[in-house]
Amino acid sequence: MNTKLYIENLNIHFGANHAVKDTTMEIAENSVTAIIGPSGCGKSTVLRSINRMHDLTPSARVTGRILLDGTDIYDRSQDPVAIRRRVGMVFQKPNPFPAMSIYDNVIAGYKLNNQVNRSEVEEIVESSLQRVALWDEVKDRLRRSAMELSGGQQQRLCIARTIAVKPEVILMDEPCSALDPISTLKIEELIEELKAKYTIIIVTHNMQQAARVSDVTAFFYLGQMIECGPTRKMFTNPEQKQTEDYITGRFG
Amino acid sequence: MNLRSLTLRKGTNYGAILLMAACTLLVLLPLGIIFFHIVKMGIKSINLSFFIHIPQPTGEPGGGMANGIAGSALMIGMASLLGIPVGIFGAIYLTEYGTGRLATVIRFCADVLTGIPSIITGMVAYALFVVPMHGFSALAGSFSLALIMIPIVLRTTEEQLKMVPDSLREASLALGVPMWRTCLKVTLRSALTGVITGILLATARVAGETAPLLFTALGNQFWSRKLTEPMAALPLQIFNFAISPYEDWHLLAWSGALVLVVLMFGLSLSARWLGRNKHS
Repeated sequence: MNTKLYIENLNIHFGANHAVKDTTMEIAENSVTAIIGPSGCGKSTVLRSINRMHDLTPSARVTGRILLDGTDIYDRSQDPVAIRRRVGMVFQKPNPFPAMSIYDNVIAGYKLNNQVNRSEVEEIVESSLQRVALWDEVKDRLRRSAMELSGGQQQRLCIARTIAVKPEVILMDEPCSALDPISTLKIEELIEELKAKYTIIIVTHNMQQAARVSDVTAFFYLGQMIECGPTRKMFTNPEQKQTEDYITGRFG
Repeated sequence: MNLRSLTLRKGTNYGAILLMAACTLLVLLPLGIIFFHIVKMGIKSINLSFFIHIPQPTGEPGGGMANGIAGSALMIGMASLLGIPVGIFGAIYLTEYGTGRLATVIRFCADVLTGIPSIITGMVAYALFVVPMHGFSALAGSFSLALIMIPIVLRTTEEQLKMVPDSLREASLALGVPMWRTCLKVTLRSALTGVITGILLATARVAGETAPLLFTALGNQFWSRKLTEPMAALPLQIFNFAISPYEDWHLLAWSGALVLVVLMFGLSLSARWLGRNKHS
């Protein structure tokens, strides 16, 4: 498989706090990588560095390289806006735009950039909602506010909004932590399907979820990547003692 | 529990509620008196000619404050053209881009500017506009009103923008929307009703300002033809007519006051109405 992302010697500081330490990992195209670890271990911090979300935090300092198809996204010549179009993100809490309808939320990426092409938009809305299995539930109320949807539907709407702009990589930051088990199941099934077209990295607190959806799992502890390997191996026969302790619930 | 202490507690409770109700009445009383008196005195001269005629010499019937109403509207409009964009963009800078010392300094200056007596704002406009241009003018009046509007709009907008959750900004940025578009189309858009409320309140505030106009627009008994001429304004006419010795002018001043109070009442009401809609 081709390497989609290569993270090399990544260090992230917030002021004096060294949040991510010397991390190197490789992420294959069309795979699902889960990042697990206890709260505050730096897993979300790593995730957010992959689409340069830390640019907004003045105290954040990112060093090392993150190669997307071989190009360092932190290179001076790279435009963070262009990077974010290629690397989409789904957040922990569903965050549809409250002032927009369901329809407009799906095409928000085009609308906010004034790139709405009337002939394409209908098609994009339908196919994106189809792909997240939301179409049948909302096709009769596309013009209603997105806030009328349930939490699970809102989160699927946010995923639809993300794939509508045709990214290559999708980052998911605990996408199911605010959802009930049935919605969670739907999103997990969705991740399985999205894998065919996208490279997915998911941060999760739920180890069963990591085991269910991912091909590769990375375990972080205190800002350090302890171990990274095929999910099956990580959960059955990890190499590091710390990984085993965490997975078996002895700490964290 | 013994019964006596319960009775005592209930009594204390009752007394406290009574005291608070009395205080509330005391707060409302002045407003009621002012409103009642202004309506009673002002309603006498409110007729069509009040709105379409300029003041007549004392003793002649049919005079109005049309030029004052138009002058106020024009100067408030021009002040808004300067004050609202500067206030809003300043607030966007403070919340979205401003970090560190500069933002703190701007915020502090805005607070000081809000507290400066408006007559001093008028003197500044006098020194900056009236003296170099060798004459009182509507332009100078508008400028002094804008100076009062800027910090109010800036601070209320800033408060509203701060209330927009970061998750919305992130959602927009993660879709590959540039920062400036995110500021305008997501952050400002989400806070819009609150921002408009702030603008209405700032407008209501400057609509009644008299002191800064004394030095700048000066007032005019007739229609002004140019922005570089002295211009009439409602509060100025009220002031001039109220201190005149003529009874019919006094009545006109009361009517002017009534118009002004109704205008401010309307602005405050619409601000509240907008603010309430946001939460429902």
